[in-house]
Amino acid sequence: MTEDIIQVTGLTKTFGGVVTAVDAVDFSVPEGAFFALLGPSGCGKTTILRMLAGLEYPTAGSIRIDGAEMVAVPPNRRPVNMVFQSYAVFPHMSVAENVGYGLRVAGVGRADIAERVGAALALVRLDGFEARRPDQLSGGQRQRVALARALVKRPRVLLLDEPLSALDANLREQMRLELVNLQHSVGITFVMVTHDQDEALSMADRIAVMEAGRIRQLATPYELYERPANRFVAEFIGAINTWPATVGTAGVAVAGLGELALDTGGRPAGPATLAVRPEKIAISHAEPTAALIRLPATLRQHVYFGNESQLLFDNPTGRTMVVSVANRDREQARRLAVGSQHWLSWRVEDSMLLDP
Amino acid sequence: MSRAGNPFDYARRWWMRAILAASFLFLYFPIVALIAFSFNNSKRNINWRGFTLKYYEKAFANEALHDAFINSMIVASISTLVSTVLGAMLGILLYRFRFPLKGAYEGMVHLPIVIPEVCMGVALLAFFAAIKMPLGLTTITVSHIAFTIPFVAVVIRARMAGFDRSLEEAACDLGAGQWQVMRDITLPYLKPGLIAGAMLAFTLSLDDFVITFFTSGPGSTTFPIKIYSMVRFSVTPEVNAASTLLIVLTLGLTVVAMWVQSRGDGGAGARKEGA
Repeated sequence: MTEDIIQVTGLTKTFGGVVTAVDAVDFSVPEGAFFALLGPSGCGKTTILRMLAGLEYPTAGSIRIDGAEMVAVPPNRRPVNMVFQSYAVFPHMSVAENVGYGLRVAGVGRADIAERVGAALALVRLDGFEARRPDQLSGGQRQRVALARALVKRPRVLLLDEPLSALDANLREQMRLELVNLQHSVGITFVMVTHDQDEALSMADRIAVMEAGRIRQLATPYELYERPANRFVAEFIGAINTWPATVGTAGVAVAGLGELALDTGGRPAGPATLAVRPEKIAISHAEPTAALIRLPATLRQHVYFGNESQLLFDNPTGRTMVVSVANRDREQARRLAVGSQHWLSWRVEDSMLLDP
Repeated sequence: MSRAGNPFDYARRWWMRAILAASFLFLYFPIVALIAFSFNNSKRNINWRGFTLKYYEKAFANEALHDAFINSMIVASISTLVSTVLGAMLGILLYRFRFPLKGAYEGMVHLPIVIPEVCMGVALLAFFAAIKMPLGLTTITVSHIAFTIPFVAVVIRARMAGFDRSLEEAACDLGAGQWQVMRDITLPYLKPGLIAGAMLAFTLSLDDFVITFFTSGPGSTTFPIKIYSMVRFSVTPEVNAASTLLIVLTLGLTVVAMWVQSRGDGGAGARKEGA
């Protein structure tokens, strides 16, 4: 078994001895992975990234990168480079000077610098921009400069702090794909911090979901979405319908849904939460077969997004249900009129049983 | 009369223009008069008697005035150099670090800006007497450094307020040590502030009267003090000529400083074209 490139154990950071930003976090990142730290603001994800870069000293714990202990190593001697949220492109230097800066301070020769800067700029498709000043660049171009400037150092790990948050929506979608492709082509391990679940799901191959300084689940995007380990992860990633439930010997009892023959997955008897994702629910006029979990409902509100609609239903459980449907033909949205009666149903195996 | 146009277009109101004109007149008329009468062919500054340059010749030939000017330049140059370095360090310290009693410390270092100059002069005189330092150019220079540092610090602090810390972090992340970060990132960013701070310190030192008056000794007369001693007898066009020279010098320095600043940016642009 090859050793993971990043191994973090017991990493803790307290500010002023009062606020615990990061609380005894353990994780490791395999070489070549695209790893994302995902969580709401203030969950400690950026603090972890800054500790990996060496810009923040841990209060306790260990950071090993490429097998070497990093905690006492200053940021300028770590085999990692960072793309800052603001990009931090040096305003008084040209694009070429920016990208070449890390090589210049490392004492690389002029000819070498020029060649590697050229290659790095080609990698981010900024060839020909060498002489531009940062104030002549768009936000997306500045981000590419920051990327090239970090990649030209050939780091073992590239750290990205909210890399897409400063871009406008269209460019953001495009850059997601580009960053993933770039990571594939350079083969460097990426660690990204983001608060945007779509960004993390679509880009990363491993995601650590954080809350209040702790990792709540570390898994692949598929596992996080389809098999969340707890309610926090389930509710943070994507929309979800939940009901208070009781695990008994025969199955799971939910008010308004009756006794369901669910696989309890070893969950002990007692209170729990039944959950189902909005897109797993089918809408029909006729009552569905008894094999499905089903209930009658009245459409209360129709939220139209164009490509899909979110439908809010009143139903006997007393909890408003969210159902999302793709608008697969032009007339579909019109057929779902507010006040109309429907049956909602989903397969037993699409249900989740979570902590109360 | 119609009042069409932007409600905030105050520059179009006649009363606003009148106030503006009055302000300019109030500010600049005395200076214009001073310069004009330096060319007046009369022993007194009351009536215009024709154009002459003879008072400039007289001012240039006045050896005492000459020496005073040299003294002022020496004091201003040395004190500007020292107070720009110390003031910049102070400004960066106030921007960057947090420590106990910082508020009190900040108030104290800014004291020379608000304290009456007379008090500062008396205090410095008492200090030099206590340490038995003979009064002369050295004591003047030390005093000028002491009272110009906070002005430089304020300018640098204001410049640092708009600084993006992540620029320094990025440089460090790319492998630069602390001194390299200072040289490559922080100082280039501070350059306009350093030039502005130095200019301020230089002009404050050049025309300081009160503090210099207390801390100067025999044979260490500076330009403003010399002019004052000449005026005590009568305001002759020679005084006007000397003052005009001082105005020209400060204006010239300002223009040079602005030119250096703009060339600094343009020069970087030219370098990139060559690369």
